[in-house]
Amino acid sequence: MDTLLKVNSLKTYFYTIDGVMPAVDDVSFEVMRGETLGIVGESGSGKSVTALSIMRLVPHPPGRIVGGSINFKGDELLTKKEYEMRMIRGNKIAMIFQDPMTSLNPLFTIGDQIIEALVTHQDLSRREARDRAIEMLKLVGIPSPEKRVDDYPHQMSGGMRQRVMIAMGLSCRPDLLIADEPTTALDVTIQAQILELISEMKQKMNMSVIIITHDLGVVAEVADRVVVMYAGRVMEYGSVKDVFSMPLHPYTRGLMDSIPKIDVNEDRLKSIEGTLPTLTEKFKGCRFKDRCVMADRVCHEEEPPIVEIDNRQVRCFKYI
Amino acid sequence: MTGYIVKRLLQLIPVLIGVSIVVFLMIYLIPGDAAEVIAGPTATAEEITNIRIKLGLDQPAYVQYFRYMSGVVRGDLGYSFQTGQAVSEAIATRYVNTFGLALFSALIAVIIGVTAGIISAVKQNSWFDHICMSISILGISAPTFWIGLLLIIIFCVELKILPISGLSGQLWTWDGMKHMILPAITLGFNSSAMIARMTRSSVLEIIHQDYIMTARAKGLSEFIVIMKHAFKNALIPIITVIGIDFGSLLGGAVVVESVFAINGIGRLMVQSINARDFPMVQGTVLVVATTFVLINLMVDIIYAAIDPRISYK
Ligand SMILES: Nc1ncnc2c1ncn2[C@@H]1O[C@H](COP(=O)(O)OP(=O)(O)O)[C@@H](O)[C@H]1O
Ligand code: SF4
Ligand SMILES: [Mg+2]
Repeated sequence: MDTLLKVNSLKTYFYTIDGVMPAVDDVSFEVMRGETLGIVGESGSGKSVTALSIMRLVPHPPGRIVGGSINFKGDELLTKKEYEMRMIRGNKIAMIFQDPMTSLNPLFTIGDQIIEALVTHQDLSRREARDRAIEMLKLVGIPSPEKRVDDYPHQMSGGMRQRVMIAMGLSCRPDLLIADEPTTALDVTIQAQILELISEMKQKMNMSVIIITHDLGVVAEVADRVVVMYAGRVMEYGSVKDVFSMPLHPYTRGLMDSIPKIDVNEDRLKSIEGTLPTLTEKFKGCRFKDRCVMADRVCHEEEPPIVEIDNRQVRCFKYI
Repeated sequence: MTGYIVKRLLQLIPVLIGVSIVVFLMIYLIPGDAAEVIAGPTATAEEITNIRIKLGLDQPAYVQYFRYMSGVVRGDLGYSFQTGQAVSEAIATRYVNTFGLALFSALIAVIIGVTAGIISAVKQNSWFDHICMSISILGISAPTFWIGLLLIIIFCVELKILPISGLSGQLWTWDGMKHMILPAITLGFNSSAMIARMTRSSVLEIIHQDYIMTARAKGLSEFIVIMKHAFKNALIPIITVIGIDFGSLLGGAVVVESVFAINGIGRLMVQSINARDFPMVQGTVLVVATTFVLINLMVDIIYAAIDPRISYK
């Protein structure tokens, strides 16, 4: 398998009045052709900023990509001009977002919004683009698409709107789809359908997918490999099979314990106690130290490097 | 959409009836009555009573109201006590001037305000933004007559490039236009400031919405993202301000018409109030109030045209 996307030592910082916030700090991973990569971590760990960095859409100010490289199909994205990035966005790399209720413009029909993506990147007349839009709506499972194409977003349910977002994202047949928490805002029953749709579309279109989630359960369902992020860092990175059969990092283990299990009858889900650290200049040691059950002296003094063991990467002193 | 417009038009009927009743009753709140005004200070009580009977002022209020309204619906607003001219005729010529003035200044206000507002929002905290917002504070706080006098001093007295005052003839001529520029700027300055501030804050709010990120992620240029996706959404509060302002432009025209000696409906209203020319007062107030109501209707219809969620219930 060849590499489609290679993110190397990516650093995206936010410069706010409270100081510098390293939202994404030395993050590296690869996405192979035809593969689904999961990025998992609790809210605020830098997943969305990673995705926006790939799209080169980090809000600036206050955010800025300060280091690293993002290689897509052999091309460096971080040195591309804005107009060159525009030819990639929505065309080669598409992105869909967490909340389908707010990610579609309420004042334009869904057809209009899909057609817009098509005519921006492809040499199509409006008529042809409209036919393609209807085709895409049909493909993502919208009933009577030739009628719904003229609907406004408010005439559709959340699940339907997320299907529309997927249709829009895939309309130009991108090589990579980035789905940022695509099911978080949806009902549980709809969640499964959307995940299934993404997997199915990946097969049909022969593309790669990055799926971002705070739920390891989602990763287990759709991803081939997984990046576990915490406070801007990659804590563990490996195949889903390996990570699930034997999680190495204490944070990954914590996340595993918080997946609801049907066969175990527990009153409450276990969750990791505590919250993300505030990363000031004075911060020392492992970023997970305050919540780690295995933390010892060295963890408070120094930060562990990320090391490779058995086809997997992990950032913890226990494995050095 | 058509259904929505029909519904709004039907809702207009009670509003307009209400307006006409208020306008009609207004006369009763003014001390003295029409017969005394017409008869003059030297008239005897008998003369006054005769006039009262002739004008139907001895009839109950509702009879008078229906008589008045049956004229109004035929376009007959009565006759001036002062000149004997038909009220509708007197209003018509002046209405064109005032409405033209308001329209002209609204146009200036919208063009300047919207452009400045969008640029200020997109270039938030730039020098352009700071300068625009400072000028707009001046625009909002400075009284209209002061701005008008200032402009007269600059352009008419010092630079001598525009006529000082006195639009008496036709508005839609070259001469009329030259007379209209300063009053329109004077009147529009305040509105353009309001519109600029509203546009700026509205665009700033919209560009943080998720669908703006979706539009960018599609690969659209920033120009299309702002002018299509952001601006159309920002338009609703902007239209509201424009609607309110257009109403106050008509009201504000009273001051500007006085400063620039323009023969408009505002001045006519003031003159007829001073002369206690009741039919003329009723007529002008009725026409201005109806214009207000119609502008509101227009604004509501524009809302619905912009936002499909409004006519959809
Ligand atoms: N627009 C912003 N301004 C300032 N800080 C931001 C902004 N967006 C993100 N951040 C910072 O980046 C961190 C990671 O955010 P994000 O990538 O959105 O997390 P998540 O993993 O939940 O997607 C946040 O905790 C926040 O401190
Ligand atoms: S380095 Fe220390 S604190 Fe960090 S995860 Fe490993 S054991 Fe826990
Ligand atoms: Mg996020």
